[in-house]
Amino acid sequence: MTTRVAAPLDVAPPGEERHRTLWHDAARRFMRNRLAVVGLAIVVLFLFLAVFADLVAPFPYDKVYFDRVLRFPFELPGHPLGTDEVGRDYLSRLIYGARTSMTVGISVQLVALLIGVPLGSLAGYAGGRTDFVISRFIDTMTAFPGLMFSILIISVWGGGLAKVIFALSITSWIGIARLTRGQILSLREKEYVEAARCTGVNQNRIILRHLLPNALTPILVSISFGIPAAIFGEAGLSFLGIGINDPLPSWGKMVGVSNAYVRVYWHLALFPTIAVALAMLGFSFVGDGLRDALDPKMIE
Amino acid sequence: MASRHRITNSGNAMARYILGRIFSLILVLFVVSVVTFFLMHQVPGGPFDETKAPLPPAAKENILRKYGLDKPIHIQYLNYMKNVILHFDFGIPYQQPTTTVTALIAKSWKVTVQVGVMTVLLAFGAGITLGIYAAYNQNSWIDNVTTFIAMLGITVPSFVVAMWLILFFAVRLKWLPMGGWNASGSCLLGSAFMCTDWIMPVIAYAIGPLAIIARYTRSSVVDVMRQDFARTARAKGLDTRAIMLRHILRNALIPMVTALGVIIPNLLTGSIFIEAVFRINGLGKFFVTSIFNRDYPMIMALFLLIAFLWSLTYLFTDILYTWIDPRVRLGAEGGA
Repeated sequence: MTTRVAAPLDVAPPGEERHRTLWHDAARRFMRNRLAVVGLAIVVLFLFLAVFADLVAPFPYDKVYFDRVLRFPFELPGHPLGTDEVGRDYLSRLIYGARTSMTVGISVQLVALLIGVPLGSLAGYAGGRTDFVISRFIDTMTAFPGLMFSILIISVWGGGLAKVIFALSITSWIGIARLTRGQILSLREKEYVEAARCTGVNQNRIILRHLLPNALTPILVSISFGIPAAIFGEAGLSFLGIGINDPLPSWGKMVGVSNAYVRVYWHLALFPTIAVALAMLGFSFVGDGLRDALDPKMIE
Repeated sequence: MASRHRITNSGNAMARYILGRIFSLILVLFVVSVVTFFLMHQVPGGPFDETKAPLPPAAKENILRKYGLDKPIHIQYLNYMKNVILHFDFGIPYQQPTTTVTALIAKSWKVTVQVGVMTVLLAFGAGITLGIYAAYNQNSWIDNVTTFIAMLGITVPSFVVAMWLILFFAVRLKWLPMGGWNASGSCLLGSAFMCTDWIMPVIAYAIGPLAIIARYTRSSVVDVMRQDFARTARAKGLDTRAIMLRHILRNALIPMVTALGVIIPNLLTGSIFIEAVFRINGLGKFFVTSIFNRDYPMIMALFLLIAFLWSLTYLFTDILYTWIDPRVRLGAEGGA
């Protein structure tokens, strides 16, 4: 036992160089994955649109032109994707829609991270009664149909950006908490952790410096899949008409509204559905790429 | 044979496992019902709109007493649950006070079940077939097509696929009706046989589960194909079909139960979107209109119903899983 502990003892602290090579390798593997690169390009594009919507979009998202209602793409100069049912520029609304989607996707995962990781670490590290209580809580929450719960909350407290983020966050942290707990549970028995404990490193430092960095990759992958899930949730709620409120644009809401006009005004349905699909595919490709790139089993 | 022996040995463990799961199911339902009940009562405003016609205090008191609304909230909860459990009585919907929630649900569940059953059949039929073909012809065009469909089906939301189908087959080609269910004029040989308005909802609804099933089937068939017993079967000269049916599929389909556990609960909520896109008057559509009308008894009943079915399918698939595959250990004590 003691001899086995001794061997890998000094791996963690000087990790500077090892760290760089791990991420360097992962980045190289990621960039060799064609789908992942395509996904990354899509994600970067949408993030760019989200951040610089004010500069990129030709019109404000809520500017109404009563004389230009329901125009087809290219029917009027200056409205390449046409206008919507109240005369707003459709391209601009799509671009601002990216902002809504990205905001929801990232905020929800941020909340998931901030709740899930501490709770999961606590359960995994403390064990015993703490673990029992947290795990039962996680189990119970898993038994809730996630999207239904969001719908329920919104039906009581109403829609809007902040409330959508809140409603989606309530169930979003469960997966990460479960994952973190499992990771910590298996990592805390590792020799290097035992070694750190033997040399008198305190608990917080063990968790922060030794456990979490090693649990980071699966958490990262989980987040990269969580973002499209949150985008899907927002689009779904808004599609049903209970998510983002007017005049703020949301792709899901645009699809939902377009349903009544689709027989003639096909462009109202086509462009936002493509935007949703692209965003979902982009993030999923990135998630797949990250998982493959960070999976130690792939290292040869 | 050895595995069967073990099952009888651990029959006690099985019973204990199932009892434990049922207990946790009851706990979950209790939590769900408490949370929804208190959420519903947290809403400002009540069932009696007083903005247009203010009630005299005595009349209001009478009404509140009649519906039990003068009692403390935990008593109200207990009364509600007593009615639900003993009489399957979920109260009176605000949108149609002349009928009961139960009657409204009874009127619309059939359509939803019909859509769901057809979806499950299509998803499993096509998904397993595609998965097997893809596994047998790895890296062929059919494998690539399957991978593509799987990717699309897993990532793209059903209502997006639905809109695309509508745009192409209903708006562009005008082959299929835009929506509806069992609408007269869309059915060949009566509504029992085949209606054209079934096609798009079922495809849009099924593509997600179909994708998951195809992916599961492909990887598990590929896995089993590499096992020793499959090679032995081939070596002793069995033809491909027999190997496939008798040896590979039997083992490859075990993980399908897990897929079932993922898919069925999601179908319950997915129906909301499909019914909204295609204007199908099922439970899902009802749920959405109830939210718009702030019809809390209705929302609560539907939510409880879905939570119940959701937990039940989880329980069912877990039990099925341990029963089909004796290798699965039941907690700590089962495998010994």
